[in-house]
Amino acid sequence: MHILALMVGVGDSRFDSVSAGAPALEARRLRKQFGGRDVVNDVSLHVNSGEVVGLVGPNGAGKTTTIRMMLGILAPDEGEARALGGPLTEETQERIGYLPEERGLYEGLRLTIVLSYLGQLKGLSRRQATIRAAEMLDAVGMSEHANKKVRELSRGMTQLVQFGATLLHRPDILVLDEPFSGLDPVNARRMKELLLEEKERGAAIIFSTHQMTDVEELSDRVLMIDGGEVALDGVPSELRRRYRGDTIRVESPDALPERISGAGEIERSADSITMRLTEGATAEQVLRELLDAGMRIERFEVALPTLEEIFIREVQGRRGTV
Amino acid sequence: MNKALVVARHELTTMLSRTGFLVMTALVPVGMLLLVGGIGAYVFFTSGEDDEPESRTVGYVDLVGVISEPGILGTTEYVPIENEDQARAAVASGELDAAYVIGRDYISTGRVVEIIRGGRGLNITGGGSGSLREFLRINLVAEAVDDARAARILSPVFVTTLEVDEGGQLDEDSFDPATLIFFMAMAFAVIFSVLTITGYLLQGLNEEKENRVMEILLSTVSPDQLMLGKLLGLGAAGIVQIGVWMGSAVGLLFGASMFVDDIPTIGLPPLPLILVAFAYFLLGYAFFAALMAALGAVTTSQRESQQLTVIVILPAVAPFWFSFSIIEDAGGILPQIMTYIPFTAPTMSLARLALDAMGPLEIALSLIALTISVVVAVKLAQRLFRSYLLVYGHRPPLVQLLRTAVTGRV
Repeated sequence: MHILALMVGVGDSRFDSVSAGAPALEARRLRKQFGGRDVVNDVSLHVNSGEVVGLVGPNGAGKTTTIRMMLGILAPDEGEARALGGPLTEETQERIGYLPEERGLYEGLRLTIVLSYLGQLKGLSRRQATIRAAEMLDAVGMSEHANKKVRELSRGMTQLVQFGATLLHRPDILVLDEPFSGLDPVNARRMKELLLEEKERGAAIIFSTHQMTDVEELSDRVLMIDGGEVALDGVPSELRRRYRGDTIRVESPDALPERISGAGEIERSADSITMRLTEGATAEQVLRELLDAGMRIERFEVALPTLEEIFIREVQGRRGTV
Repeated sequence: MNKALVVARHELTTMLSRTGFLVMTALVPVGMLLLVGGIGAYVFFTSGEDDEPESRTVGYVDLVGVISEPGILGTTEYVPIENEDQARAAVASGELDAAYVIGRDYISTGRVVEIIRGGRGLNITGGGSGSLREFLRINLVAEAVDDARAARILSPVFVTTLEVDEGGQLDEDSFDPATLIFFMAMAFAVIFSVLTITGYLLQGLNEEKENRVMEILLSTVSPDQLMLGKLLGLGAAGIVQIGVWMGSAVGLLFGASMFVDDIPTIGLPPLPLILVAFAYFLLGYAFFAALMAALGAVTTSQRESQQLTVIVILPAVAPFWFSFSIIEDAGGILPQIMTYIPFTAPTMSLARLALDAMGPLEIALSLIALTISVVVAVKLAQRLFRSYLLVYGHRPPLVQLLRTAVTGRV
């Protein structure tokens, strides 16, 4: 913890106040309708302290609505959002840092004033907020712009400042909606490092994204929402194992036989062929079929799918397009 | 409540650093200073001429015998001269500045011959103090009637107005210039300040929606806290603005009355009336601010909200449209009705108070009606605020807005 933070008493975590075993952030059977249509339907999820959960799903899946309900911005029609072992209260809301998908700050105000105001709304005193504002601007590499007005910054710089504002009060829970979109690789890396530091500190983190590489890189667990419902929930490596067995990668100097009874979708690249097994087919059956057809096999493996492949397959499967 | 205060402090400090607000707040005192300074300068320079008027000696040849009271009148000394030749010689030598021959036909014709040197007229034949006309009138009247009547002929009227109430009792406080000035100034200040401040409220809400800051705020602050904080903070800014305006007005008038004799000494009206004026300001502000907050919540851009504010502003300034008929008959039906309509009540009531056309009962009923309107407006605004703060891009249909305003449901 930064020495100034120690001096002003910022960053006293309330992890101790979380009931033993209770998740830091929890959604219990959340439901929300807009215009008579279910936007979120019976969504339950949780995030533990020190855990990073990646929230994925196609556009319009209900991610942002779920997030807003978990933060208390929207009231659910049914279900309950809980934080730090209890229902959402003004006090627990203060322990949450939120970075919304659509970002912006007060254009006409100086960075220190904006950050100080947002810090005070999160329960810091004016003095604490001012000190933390300086620290966070330093942490995101924006301290030299501290006295600039927001409108004088580029979009990427504003995004960094806003990320700093999210971490300003050293929250126990971080909810980030598309945190890396629009950032250049250098700044995206910087934000990821800060995120992992927060994880090390013990914060519970949930972030939504369309970038599966970010999920694979950062998440301890991935949660997919589609059509307002939880479609997948698991640890990335387990999910990949769960979905292995139906994808085969083959390297051969020969062409594939015209018909392979156990193979469905086939993708050819310069040096390999990827096949999806049809239902009931096994890898052994396909291998035997290829060998029987006289094909020379240099490499044959049951591939672990990427999260992106799992995501696409799951969404298409739910929509019946496979 | 605590967070509402944080919001209030932020709104107040942000407002106090806004260039537009500072200019608007400073413009009124600066304008008044220039006005009073200009008037003062004019009075100073023109009265400077009067303070040290050129004294002159004028001769007269009275061939009719109408002058019985020679001597000094104003800055002019009237000296009897024997005949026209002596008069010409005295003017020629500079002993006299001018001379007048009152001929034998004066009574029938009013003709007087003026003798001056080298075209240098004295300009004393007009009607002002010390003029030849005044000199002749005094002497003519003194000849004809006694002193008392002569005085009345020369100054026929000094008006003292007494106003009686319905019971025939004298109402000595019926017209107090201080009250008139205070309430008229307050009426203008209230309408300008309220519309300025609530305009900023609307602009701020639109900015927060357009910049998407709203979502961050609502993750920590409830819509009710946010609305309360904004109303408190901007209301405080309004009080600062009104305070500056009224304080500078009183200060300038006080200062002016110390240096210029012709300006009557201005005092403040009695404390209860000041409190009534303050109550109208606060309630008027709360009413219009609640409406603007509702507008800010349901609109999606500055342009759209500016178009819709006309709905609020037009009725607010309605009392000014009827100002002539209100001044003519401040106790009439129209002013009375407008005293109870929340859009017009603050300015209309202050204008009628200035004209002393409102009794205590009417003041109380008007304030009660305005208070109820404020409660209803805040309630409706709260419902719209809670429901539509995160609506971007499109404004909900009017039917839906009305339903939300009435039931609180989207």
